[in-house]
Amino acid sequence: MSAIPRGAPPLESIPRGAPPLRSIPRGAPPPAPPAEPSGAPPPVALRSIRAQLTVALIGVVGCVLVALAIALYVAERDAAWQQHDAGLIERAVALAAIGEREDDGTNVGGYELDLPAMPGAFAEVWRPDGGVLARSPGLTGDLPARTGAFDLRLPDGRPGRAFGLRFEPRDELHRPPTELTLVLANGIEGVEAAGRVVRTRFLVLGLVALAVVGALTAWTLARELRPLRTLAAALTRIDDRHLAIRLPVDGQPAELAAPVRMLNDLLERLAASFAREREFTANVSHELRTPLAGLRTLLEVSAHAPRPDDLAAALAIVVQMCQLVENLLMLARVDAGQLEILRGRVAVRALVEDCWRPYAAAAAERGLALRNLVPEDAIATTDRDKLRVVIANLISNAVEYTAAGGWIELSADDGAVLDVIDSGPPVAADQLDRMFDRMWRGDPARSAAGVHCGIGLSLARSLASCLDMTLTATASADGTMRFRLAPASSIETAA
Amino acid sequence: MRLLIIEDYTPLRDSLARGLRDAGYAVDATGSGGDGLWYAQNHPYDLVILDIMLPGIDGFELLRRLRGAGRTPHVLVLTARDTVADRVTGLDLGADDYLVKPFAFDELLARLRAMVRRRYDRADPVIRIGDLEVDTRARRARRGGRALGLSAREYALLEYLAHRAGEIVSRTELWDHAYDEAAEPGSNVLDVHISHLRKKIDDGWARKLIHTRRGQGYVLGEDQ
Repeated sequence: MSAIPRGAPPLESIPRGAPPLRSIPRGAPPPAPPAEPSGAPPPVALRSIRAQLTVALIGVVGCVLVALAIALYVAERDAAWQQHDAGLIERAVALAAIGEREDDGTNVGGYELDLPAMPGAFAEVWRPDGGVLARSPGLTGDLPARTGAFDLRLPDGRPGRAFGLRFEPRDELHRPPTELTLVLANGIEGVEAAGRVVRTRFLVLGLVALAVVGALTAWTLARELRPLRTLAAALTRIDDRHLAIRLPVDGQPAELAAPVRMLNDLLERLAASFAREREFTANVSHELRTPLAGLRTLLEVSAHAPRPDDLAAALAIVVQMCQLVENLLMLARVDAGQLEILRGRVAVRALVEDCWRPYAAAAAERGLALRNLVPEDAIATTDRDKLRVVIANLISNAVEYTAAGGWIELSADDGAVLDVIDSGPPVAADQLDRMFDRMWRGDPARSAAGVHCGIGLSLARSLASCLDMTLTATASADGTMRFRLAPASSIETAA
Repeated sequence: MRLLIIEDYTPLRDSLARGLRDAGYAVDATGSGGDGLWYAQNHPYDLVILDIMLPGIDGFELLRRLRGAGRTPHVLVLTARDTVADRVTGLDLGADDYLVKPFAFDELLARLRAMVRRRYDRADPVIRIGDLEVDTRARRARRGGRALGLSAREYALLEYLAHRAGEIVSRTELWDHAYDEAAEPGSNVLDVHISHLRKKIDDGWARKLIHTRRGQGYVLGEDQ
């Protein structure tokens, strides 16, 4: 009987009737949700599809408009000149028709030609011998005596255009024909003014067209890019706790459908990965809490009524927890791909003896005999520390699950790096491979010792794979279990 | 009170059984779901402490089958799984309480006492029969203000009788609820304990509280 009273501490704080459930927050607090995209504009101007497309379209349309305008303008100008020239020729011909050859005695071999005054225009007529026959009023100097259409500077300094022709004046006497030369010149202000008007019109129209194109492009793009904004909004709602959200594929523009599907696939994979992690965390917390609960209860019960072997039992639990934490850390490194393999020559027998030592007491307590048949000269070229973890987990597994009073044999034959054979009971055939699953809970037939099955075998297999080895389990007909660690290339020998 | 522990982690199971026996419970313990279900279906346990992740039949399945078979022990689910979904599942399947590992042993004891009170429809941890007071919290009994100095087994018998005060309690029931599998199944043991208990409670008092109903059992109460 204990001297310490049981159940004495006051428990008034515990309410009568249904006690409330304890609410212990699970593991680490959930990570803070990712920061919402802030309203502040990013410091660096981002390239905007909308702006780029608008500018490019305005550029292209602008070039087309300019080319079109130039072509139209040139055609217009040519037409204006032709019209002008035609008018000029018509007037010149009309002037030429005025000319008449007269022979009235006073003017033998003379010509009757009075050029009328023409505002803004000048005309001059030459005799066949080149002498000036007539000048229009207001013309003081000479015009060039050329035929055809040509440009010139008018005597009053204005730019002008002229047309020269040879003609035969009418002759009532029908004498042998003579040819006079007439040049008619006028200013071209009209034509040039018309050209300016056309240019201005094209410029204004072009600018208006560009503005319209720019505005239309910007508006259309804004409308067509709206799905992108919708997607962005949907994506901001997704964090590690809302991975079930999927982006709508229907109704997306063709260009967006593929990326949206890929994003959905990515979300699928992320969700699966998070679920695995949650599951693993839950399992790990279970694996840690269970021995902690055992330790706490043992110590609390022992505090009331101590027994001599309580400390040894507590130590055994702590050793088990240390092993568990080691395994978890190693597993995390394997998962993160941060495992560094440092190969060297490893004497397997000595390593096996090293690994056995921590379990010797537990094995002795359960009446398990060890047979280390590994040859003295067995050498493996591998990473010593990783191999140690593999072997330790195999031994730990054998010590825990072999029925009391049995034996554990370690050998290295048939090309195996190591065989760990125990006297059973064997795991059911359909469970052999599942045994290496993480957090596999154990075959009831093999949990006679009632000890927890955690991650040891899973870790051992992962590490073996990192060391280019395979780890397999076989149950023999004679009721023994064999774990074989062999180089990955070697051929399996069925036990 | 008789209690069954179904927990597969041996160190925890052993410590629990030991602590609860020290606390006066008649304790049976097993590490597998299948055995646990068999025990629970074939013995009239007052309380069951049930782990969820068990080899073989898991705790939820065990609870489902137990309730399906019409067994009514009060069940406290003791598990490392603490998600709301797990608790809801457990409670909906008929668990009466839920405690997450690791836990304080005193809290477990308090919850077990609360479950016993609920099982026998009592709100007060102190049961009064006439001038007899049974303090289930301190596990002590007094009559007329004087401590009775009961042994653990005598107290266990008295507490069960007290919870069912006024009713006829058969010897089998007493045996089932105050003794575990480890107890020697000789009927003489019960007679000895009852006679000691009777001596401590009724000797020197005119009004007897423990009455024998021949061929039926015992009644704890003021009425003859």
